[in-house]
Formats: sequence, C-alpha cells, structure tokens
Amino acid sequence: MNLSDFFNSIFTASFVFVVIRVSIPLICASLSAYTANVSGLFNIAVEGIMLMSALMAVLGSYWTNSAWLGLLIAIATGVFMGLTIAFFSMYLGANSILVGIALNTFAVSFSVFLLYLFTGNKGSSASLASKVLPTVNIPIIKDIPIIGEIFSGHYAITYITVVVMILVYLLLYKTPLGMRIKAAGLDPEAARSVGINVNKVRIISIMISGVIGALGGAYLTTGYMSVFVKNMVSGRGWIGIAVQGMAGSSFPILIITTMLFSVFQAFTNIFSLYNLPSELINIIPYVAVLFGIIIFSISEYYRHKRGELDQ
Amino acid sequence: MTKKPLKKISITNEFVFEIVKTLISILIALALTFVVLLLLSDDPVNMFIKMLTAPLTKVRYFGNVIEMMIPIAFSGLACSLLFRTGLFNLGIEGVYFISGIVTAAVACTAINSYIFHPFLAILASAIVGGLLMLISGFLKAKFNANELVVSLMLNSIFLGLGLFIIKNYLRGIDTSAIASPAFQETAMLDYIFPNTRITISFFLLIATTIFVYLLLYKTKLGYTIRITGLNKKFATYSGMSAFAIFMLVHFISGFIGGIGTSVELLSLYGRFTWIVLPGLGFTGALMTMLGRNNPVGVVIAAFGISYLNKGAEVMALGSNVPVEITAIIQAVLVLLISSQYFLRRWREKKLLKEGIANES
Amino acid sequence: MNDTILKLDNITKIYGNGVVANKNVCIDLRKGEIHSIVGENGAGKSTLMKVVFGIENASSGTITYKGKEVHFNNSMEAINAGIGMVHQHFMLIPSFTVVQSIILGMEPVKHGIFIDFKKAIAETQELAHKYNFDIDVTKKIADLSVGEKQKVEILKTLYRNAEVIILDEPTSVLTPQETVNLFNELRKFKALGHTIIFISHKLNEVQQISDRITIMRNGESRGTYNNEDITLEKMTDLIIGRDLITDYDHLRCDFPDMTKIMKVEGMEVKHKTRYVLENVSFAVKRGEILGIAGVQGNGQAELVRCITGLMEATGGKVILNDQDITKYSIKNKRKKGLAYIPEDRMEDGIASPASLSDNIISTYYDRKDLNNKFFMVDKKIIKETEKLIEKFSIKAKNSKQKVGSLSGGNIQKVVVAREYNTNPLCLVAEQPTHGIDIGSAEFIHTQLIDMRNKGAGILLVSADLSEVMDLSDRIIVFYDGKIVAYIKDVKNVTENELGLYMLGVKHQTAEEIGGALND
Repeated sequence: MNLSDFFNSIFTASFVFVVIRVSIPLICASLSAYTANVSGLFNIAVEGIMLMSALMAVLGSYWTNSAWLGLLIAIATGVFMGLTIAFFSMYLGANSILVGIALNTFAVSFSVFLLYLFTGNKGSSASLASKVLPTVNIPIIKDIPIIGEIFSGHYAITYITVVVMILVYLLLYKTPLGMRIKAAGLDPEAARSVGINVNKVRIISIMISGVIGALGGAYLTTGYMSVFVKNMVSGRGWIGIAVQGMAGSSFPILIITTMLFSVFQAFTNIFSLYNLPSELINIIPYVAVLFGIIIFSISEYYRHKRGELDQ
Repeated sequence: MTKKPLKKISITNEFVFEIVKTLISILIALALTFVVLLLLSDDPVNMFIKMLTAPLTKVRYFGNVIEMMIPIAFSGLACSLLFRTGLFNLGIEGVYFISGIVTAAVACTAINSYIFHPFLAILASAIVGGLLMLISGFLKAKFNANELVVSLMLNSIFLGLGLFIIKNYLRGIDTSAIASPAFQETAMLDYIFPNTRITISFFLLIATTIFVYLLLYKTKLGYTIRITGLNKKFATYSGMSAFAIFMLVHFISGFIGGIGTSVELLSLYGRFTWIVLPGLGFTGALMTMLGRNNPVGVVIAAFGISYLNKGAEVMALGSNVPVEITAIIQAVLVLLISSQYFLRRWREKKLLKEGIANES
Repeated sequence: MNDTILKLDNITKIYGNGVVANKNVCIDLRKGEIHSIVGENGAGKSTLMKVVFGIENASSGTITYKGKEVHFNNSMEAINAGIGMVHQHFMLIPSFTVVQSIILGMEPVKHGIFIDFKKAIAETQELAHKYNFDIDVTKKIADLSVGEKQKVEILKTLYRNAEVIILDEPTSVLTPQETVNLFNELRKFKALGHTIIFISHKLNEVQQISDRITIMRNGESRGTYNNEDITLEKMTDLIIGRDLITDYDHLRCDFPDMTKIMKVEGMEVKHKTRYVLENVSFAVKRGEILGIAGVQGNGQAELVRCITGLMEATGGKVILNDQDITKYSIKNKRKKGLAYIPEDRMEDGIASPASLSDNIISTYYDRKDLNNKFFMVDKKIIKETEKLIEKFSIKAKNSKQKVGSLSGGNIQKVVVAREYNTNPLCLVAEQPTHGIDIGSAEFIHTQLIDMRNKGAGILLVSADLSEVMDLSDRIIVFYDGKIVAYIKDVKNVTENELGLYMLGVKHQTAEEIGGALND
C-alpha cells in the first residue's frame, strides 16, 4: 500500500465517522478512570465495570423489554461496582488497587456465569432477544454534506456520552463540588482543613465513575454490537486507565489522548486491509504513555536532587 | 524472661489471627456460593458436596488440580517477591507472554536431546523474563517511576510485540490459527504420574518455592527485601540500598515468571497459542494477596483456588450450574482477606485483654 | 479596645497516656491587641491553641468567646465563630491558584450551581487590597514565595471573617525582610480591629510586635505581662528552667586520646533566598558529648539530615576521621563509623511490624560473624539480640516479638542498642529520650555516657535543655539556623544564660563561636 492510498482513506468523512464510533467506549473508559482517580480513590476496575454493564444492558433489556430500562440497569450495575470499591477500600481498609483487580477478575468469570445462566451459551447472548438503542439521525444536520456524514447517524449513547463529557468538564472545572473533588485528590489533608468531607466526595466521584463506565459498556451491546460476547471489552478499560495515567488531572489532555488512541484504533482497520501489522500500531499509544511517564519521572528525579532525599 | 529457647510456642497472636480470618472468609465465601446453588439448582446440597469433594474422587481430577495450580503458583511466587518489597508491579503478565514466545522459539528448533532441549527452553525463558522485568525495575529504582502504570503499559506493549513476532517470525504453517509451529518432541516434558499430566514442572515448583522461602527468610538479600517492604525510610536510614534491592527483586521475579510460563507450555501445550494476555499475572497477584506474600501461603492459595475450580468444573458437568460460580468464591475471598479492618475490632478487644493480663 | 474577646479559664489538658500538656491555664485576650504566647518546646503553647481551635478537647476548664461560653468540637466550628489559625505547615495545594485556595470550601456560586469566579476574584482581590497584601490572586501557589504563601493562609482566615487570628511560629519560615512585612501587616490588622495571637519563641520579635505577652512553661502559664513592663532577661528567666538536675559525674571517665573525630565546616542550606543553615562549623571530639541546645525548628533537624546523608547541603563539608564524607551515601557513612539515632523512632528508627531481632541488626546485618556463606545464621543473630536485650534491660517477651508492640521507652532502647552495637566513631543522637519514661531515659543517658567513655564522639541534639546540660561536655546553641553561642565550660553556665542565646536575645562574637571548631 502506498502513502497516497493511505491518505486518501483517512481524509474522508467516513473515516472521521469511524473514529467517533470507535472512540466512545474509549472516552467512557478514560472519563471513568478520570472521575474516580481525580478524587484520590483509584478505580482500576474500569474494564470489569464495562464488561458487567455490557452484559446487564443486554439482560436488562431482555427482562424489561425496553432498551432504555436495560441501560438504566447497566448504569445501576456500574454504580454498584463503584460503591463496592469505595466500601472495601475506605471502610474495610483494603487496597483499592487489589479491590479493582479482584473486581476485574470477578467480572470476567461472573459475566460468563450470568450469560450461561440466561442463555445456556458461554460465548454470546445471540439467543436473547435483547434490544438496542436507536441510531440517531439528527434532522437538518444529517443533510449537510460532510458535517452530516460525520456527526449524524451515530448510536444514541454516542450523543449521551458527548453530553456527559461536557457535564463532567463543567462539574470539575466550574462547580464547588468539582473543586472539592480535585482538592480531595491532590491533598486530602488540606481539603479536610477547610471542612471538606473527603470520604463523601470520593464516594460521589466513584459513583459517577461507575455511571460513565457503565455507559461505555452498554454502548458495546446496544449499538456498536447488539449482543454480548465473552470478553468483549478487549482492553478498552485498560486503555482508559493508561490515558488517565498520562493526563493526570488535566481534562483536555485526557480527551486529546483518548482521541489519539481512537484514531490509531481506526487506523488498524485500514492497516489490516493492507496487511500492515496492526498489533504494532496498536501499541503506539501505550509506548507514548510509557515515554510520557518516563520523561515525567526523570524530570521529577532531577527536581528532587537538590532537596530532601526522603521526599 | 528471654532465656527461654525459641520454640513454636511463640506463634504470635498475629499468625493465628490471620489463619482464623482466612478460615472465616472461606466460610463466608462458601456460604454465599451455597446460597447461589440453592437458587439455581434443584439439588443444591449434593452439588455443593460434589464441588467440595470431586477432586478427591479420581486421580485424574486431582492431577488436574495440580496442573492448574502450577502456573498460577509460579506467577504468585514471582508477584510475592515484588509485593514483599513494597513494589506494586503487575508486569508479570507481559513477561509471561514474551517468555512464552522465547520458550516456543527454543522448543521449535531442533535440538537432539530430551534433557537439554527443555532445559534450554526453560533457562532462556527465565533469563529473558528477568531481563524484561529489569526495564520497569530500573525505571522504578532510579527514577521512582510509578511501577503500576509502567508495568501495565509494558504488558500491552509486550502483547503487541509478541503477537507481531508470532505472526511474522514464528508462525505455524500447519494451522490456520495464529500460533507457533508445533513444539519439537524433544522439548516436551513427560508425564510422570500415571493418569495425570503432571510433569517435572511440579517439582520445579516445589524447588522454586523452597528457593523463594530460603531467599526471603534466610539470606541477607531477603532480609533487606523484607525490611525495605515494611519501612522503606527505615531501611534507607539503616544503610540498605534500595536501588540494588529493587533491581535484584525485579530480575528474580521475572526469572521465576519465565520458568512458570515455560513449564506450563512444555507440559500442557503443544504449541504457543495465546493471542491475548493469559491473565495469569493478575491471578498471581491475587494468590500473593491470599497467601499474604508468603511463598508457602501462595502455593497453598494456588492449590486451594485450583481445587475449588476443579471441583466446580466437575460439578458443572453434571448440572446446569456453570463452573464460573467459583468467581464468587474467589472475589469474596480476596475482598475479605485484603480488608485490613475486617474483624479488626474483635482482634483489638482480645489484644487489650491480653495486654491487661500481661501487666498484672 | 479594652474588652475581653476570648477568655481561657483554668484550661487543663491531660492526654490519654497521662501527659499533662496544659494545667489550669488562664489567659484573657483583649479585642484588638497583639498577644504573644511564648515558651520553649513542650511548654504547652501548641496544645493550648489546639484546644482553642477545636482540634482537641480540654479535659477541664472553660472557654468564653465574646461573652458566651463555647465549646468547639472541630476546627470548622471555631472558624465559623470567627477564629482563624495559620499553621506552621501550610495547607496549600500547589496547582491551585490563590483564589481557589482561599475560596475552597466556601465557594461563591451563581445560578445555584456554578462557581462565580468573577465574584471570587473580585472579593479576594478586594480583601488583599484592604489589608495591603500585594499579591496577584490569579497566580498558582507553586509559583509563590514562602512569604506570599503565608499571606494566602492569612487571607484564608480573613475570607472566613476571622476576628481572632492565631499565628503559630509564623516567622520560622520567613526571611528577615518578609518578617518586617509580616509585622507591618499585623499592625494593619490591629488597626482594623482584629485580635492577633502570636506564638513564638523568638523573644526579640515578640518584643517588637506585642502588646501583651503570656509566658508558658511546663504546661502552665507564668503570667501575662504588658510588653513595656517586662524585659527580655526576665522573660527568659520565666521560660527556661531546669526541674531535674541529674548528676552523671560519677559515671564519667576521661578518654585519653581526644582527637577531633568529626568536623563540620561551613555547613549551609539555602532555600531560594532563605538560609535554613548558615555557616555552621564545629567539631566533635572522641570521648566527649557535644550538645546542641536550641528550640526545635532553628535548623538543627536540617543539620542532622545533612550530616547523616538524608539531605544535600548547599555548601559545607562533613569530615569524619579525617575523611570528607559529605557526599557519601548513607551506607558508606555508616561504614566509616557514623551512627544515628533518629528523632522519629516510629517512622525512621524501626520497622514496626518486624521483629525485635530484625530491627536490632538492621545496620550491621551483613557482619561476617552473623552470616555464613549463603545464609544469615539465625542462632547467632538471636544470641546477639539476647545479649543486647540483657545489657539494655529491654522488656520484651523474646527476640521475635514485634518491635512495634513494645512500649515507647523499650523501642527507643532497641534503637540505642542497635547504634551502640555498631561501635561507631561518632554517634548523632537526635532527641534521644523524647516522649519516653524517666527510667528508660536515664538508662539511655548512662549508655550514651558509656559510649563516650569508650571513645565515641557523640553529637547530642535535643530540645530538652536539662538533657543537654546533664550530658554534654561542651555545648553549642542554635538560633535561626546559626550557631549563636559556644560554651566550653558547661559546669559554670546557667540555664538562663543558655536561654538568652536560645531565644535570640544574646549572641556571641564570631571569635567566641569559632571555638566550637577550633578548640
């Protein structure tokens, strides 16, 4: 494949459309990790939350015969898992990272457990008549050339995610609660000294984290695909955590890095068409994050040399 | 008061407490499982008993337990050294993958010796494993880079690199799946016990466990590892070099992980077939946690979990309850045992009573 | 301006472990005055303020604020009542701006949900202007100087309408110029009707700024005086005292070869423009205990960190046994014969969950006689431990007991025993008997003297003047990061004289101080 073919493929409206479609679960994963970690309570279970929520969206819509109610059930699952992390780490003194790992491992097996229970199948939920959320064709916009192709016709959760993104930004950067959440994460002692209830703030954050993670998971089974498949999250949750590790508490960097990952994921579709090694392309964002961490650590190291040895 | 010789009477309250806490957690986990069985099965009591006793009914079953236990025990041992030092490194996952490829590479080349071939494969795998862990080890030791994020990144990077290598340099042409060629016969390990698929990997595990135990509790390095993990500042003030300790621990950890992958592949697989991270690294972390970072505890935990898994597997065969029910047990166990405050108040009351009794 | 705004009546505070931190303290604060509370470490000033600010509960006694009896359960209640406190260690988040730091927890909102940043900036800017604080409220905390950070802390209290502002050792982190600025601001506060409580041990400054001064010692108040009615000497007299004089003379014997085993030359630690340590030079000889007297926070801790290798000085040398060990690693310093008893035994002196024996060998675990080719020899280690347990009368069940479960005094004995057993050439002992029972303290003192007799040079850093005077052969006094006095003849110096130096009232000449290194 030559360069001009490649560029021809990516500079099209349909490519941008694909990027957006691919990005939503990644944005949800990053935002989920972000909203929790920014408060100081780490959510390593993003992958597990997305997986369980994906399944519950399917089961939920099957039980209630409504895709929207199914979504609600998925969201409740996400919140519940978030609260589990909060409960075990804040009140029972468990290490939040271990709790997250435990939940992830649990989700992998338990999702299959439930899947089998309700479908008799351990691979997919195809036998269930689960519902999907509608695809939204925005009136007027859909007819505008290029813009319409890019922005209209996405799954419902895509638009919900965009709204959520804006809400998260507004919350964290513009509201008192948001500032307190950030303070709790940056310096809980200082936060307490001005009367902030750090525990309460962290619980709120992880609940929001659970909601967003659930959104990402539900997206996979109510639009992107219409069934639940074993292990379908395929590491998107981990990408979210990686991105958040890079971005720290900066919302802009978080979104930009996530979109970068999405672009690369969209690339792999093209690359596989042309027999280029998608596995190597896939690792580029991880390499980028790794280098980011390395550079950061090295600079911190030299900053500390002229100070105290023990912090 | 200190003239008494040190005998087993000095089992501190702490050790006993941990055992009791573990047993209570196991009971709670099993009770929950039983409740689920009640809801799902028409014959819960029998199912429950079957789950708990099945592995003991056939030699083959028990053999399976041992087979399943070996890789996660190795992973747990590797992780336990890291956690003991206070390092939260989850990089065994990625190392497992690449080491496995190294094993495959050696196993696929023709070497005409039934002894030397697997030995070489295992050794190469272990050394590569150790070297790979040194990457995150160095970044942590020198620059204090966050080992959690670094190790997670490396996991994914190693997966990508590994897949690339398999697809392009080590691709089996006799199969359509993405896998290596079949291993040479000379590389494979032989089954030792009749009716089972247990190979010398079992004895390697025992040897490694003994090695880790001796290392941790009897050597100078082990001493510095333990002290650094308990209070890094204090260790530094006492003159212990965190840098050297971190590097060594990472290497040994990766070395052990490499052995684990290698024996797993050479015992139970005919070729390298993983296309995703096998998840053994995380399970190893959980084993470490269950076994309280103690090598013997880790192996016991690995055995216990494997036992339960096999029991559930057998039970699942004859019922409509899927084997994944063990997810519940495992999750509950891990959550309860890792909760420091679980049963803490009960223990503090007892300590108080003991303290008062001692004073008077 | 003469009415009482805050009245403390017989405040007593006894901690759970029996320590009496405050005893029947009576202070009345008048509205609009600058009232200093002075005393050395352990006098009870901090505890008293914690009680006032709601962080601690008094065991007995009452607090009357603006005529009503009050009881604050937490600091928020105190803040809401109009009492603000500027702690010694700032509670600021580096990445936040000044505005954010000030409004955090009390944010002005518009439309019911969003932070009204415009209003916040306007309000805080106005506040800063009103009090003559020249500060850009949109700057990040990380970009501010220490003096400016302190202003932010003060603004935090003013934003919450504090009428009474407590400042805890505010000048300990400021440059001389910043101190002048601070005092000007405090006078402005006073003019605007605020009441200031100024906690300090620096008598010169106290004399400059205060209307009235309350002196505390050993948890009790020694009276409240008008500034013009009391002299620096009299203040020192009331602050410093020795309750218990222990004579260790009978234990001392001379070591024949008293060479200078450790020399510190020109040690300097500079943070941006402030000298934390300035031109510190002294020598420790074999067979002697050199004591460093001084109120905590005057640079002693930084000196010890630089000597032991935990911190890098910006200038100066440490020479041990004629070798320049300034840049050596901690391990190498120890190998060359330096030992260290750290101030915070729980954090730095032991690994609490580890066994007694594990802790007692931590600095020499690789000694040849405790190891064979591959392994550490448990038997020999236990034997060594038991030997030390006996010598130091450590009350423990056995060698395997978790060291964290021992009493404070016994834990410190473990630490001292360990350092003793390394047979050091020079031992740095930092607050070695802080917070432990008298019996253990005395025992540790005798062990230190024993080490001294056998030829070790001991650098004793202690905020406890009695300890310094009981143990030391020679004494240097630290104030404001500098050596302000060198006492060659400990027998004939009074605690009052030392107090004058410790509290910044007096200062020897450079020549006299030079004796610390040159004698």
